[in-house]
Amino acid sequence: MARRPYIPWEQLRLMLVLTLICAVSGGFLALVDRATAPRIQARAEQAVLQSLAFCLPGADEFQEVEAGPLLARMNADKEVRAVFRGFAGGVPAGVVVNLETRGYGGPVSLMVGITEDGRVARVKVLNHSETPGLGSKITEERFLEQPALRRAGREYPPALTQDGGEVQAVAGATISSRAVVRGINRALEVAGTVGEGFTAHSGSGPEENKQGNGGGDKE
Amino acid sequence: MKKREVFLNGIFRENPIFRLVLGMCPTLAVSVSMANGLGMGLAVTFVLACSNLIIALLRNVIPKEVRIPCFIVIVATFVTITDKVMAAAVPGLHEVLGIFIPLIVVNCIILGRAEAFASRNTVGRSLFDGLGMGLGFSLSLVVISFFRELLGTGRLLAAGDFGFPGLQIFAEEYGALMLILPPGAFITLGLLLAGINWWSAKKGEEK
Repeated sequence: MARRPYIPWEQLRLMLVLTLICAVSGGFLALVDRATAPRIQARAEQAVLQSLAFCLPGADEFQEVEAGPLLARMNADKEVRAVFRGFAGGVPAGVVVNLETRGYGGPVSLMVGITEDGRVARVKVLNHSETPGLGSKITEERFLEQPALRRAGREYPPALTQDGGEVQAVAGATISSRAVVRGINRALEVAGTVGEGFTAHSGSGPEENKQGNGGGDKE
Repeated sequence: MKKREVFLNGIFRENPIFRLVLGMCPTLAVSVSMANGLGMGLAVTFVLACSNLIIALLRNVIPKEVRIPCFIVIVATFVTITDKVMAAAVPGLHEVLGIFIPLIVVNCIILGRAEAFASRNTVGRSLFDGLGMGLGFSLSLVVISFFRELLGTGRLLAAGDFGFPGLQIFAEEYGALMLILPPGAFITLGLLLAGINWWSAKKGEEK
């Protein structure tokens, strides 16, 4: 006589309840995600655009620049995140470099605007994990807008007073300050290669790229 | 216990931070400014009230063998909702609170209330317990961050997100920087705990 198969009703019930709760939760989360995702993305894009406009005053249009071989070589440590070209009424106004340098508490994410003639326009600290009250002061105007940094440019690379330059470090936060200054120098370097090692998103091959070289020098 | 008592219980007699001393990790980390403290407190209150409500509603459906995974799924759902909504509505605050929002999932107050209260009380009482505990948590965070922000930076109610620089009570140079650093969190919490214990011991003696 065939024995009746043993069905573990109790365990099945446990599984069923947990599965149901998970499924309902999942459904709810899908709805919430659907409702919030476009807004979150729009906010992020808007934040980027705002930072770009802040760093390169006057520019009203930005175009991300695709990294060419020269930058790839320079950017072996992947510090440079993105490079944008800014235009004011269709005329190139400068370059904005988004990069990350190592600070005291972790990476410091910077955005550096550089005008066409190679001067630092404005610097913004996007993100950092420096010590509150000490290193966190690198985000303040008192540091970022000091005369020595406002003057900085390709011909006048900034350096901390400790390193023989004129930039006043934030008191008690030399490492954080140095990270910002190093980032600015890096951005100047990168911006200098735009037109050589970079190709615009609209897409020009390496051949045209060489021709662009001459144009870049004229600037 | 009446609903009103259940509600007040979370704020005073069983205050999660000063009485139960639960959920210390976000408490210590977030209480740098009153805006952060309040933001975190409200996020926790929302999650706590919602999860208490749902858990009380399902208390006869959830088998006791799998109650912990069920609670965690419910709590995690509300935390994720909070996280998404905050990212969409108040991105600045969301960024500042950062990892501590997802970490509300493992905040012992929430699972603690689910297990100790919501799973064995009616829906209404559980909701009031959640609200009371959440407000008790918020209030404590606000008290701790009041001292840390004021003595550390000389400012009060600074909320960069909303473009409010805060009320400058005294010059920032005279602030005790240590108070907004991690040790300041421990010192402030310790002194407040001592003060509250001293006060309640004294009150007990008088009776």
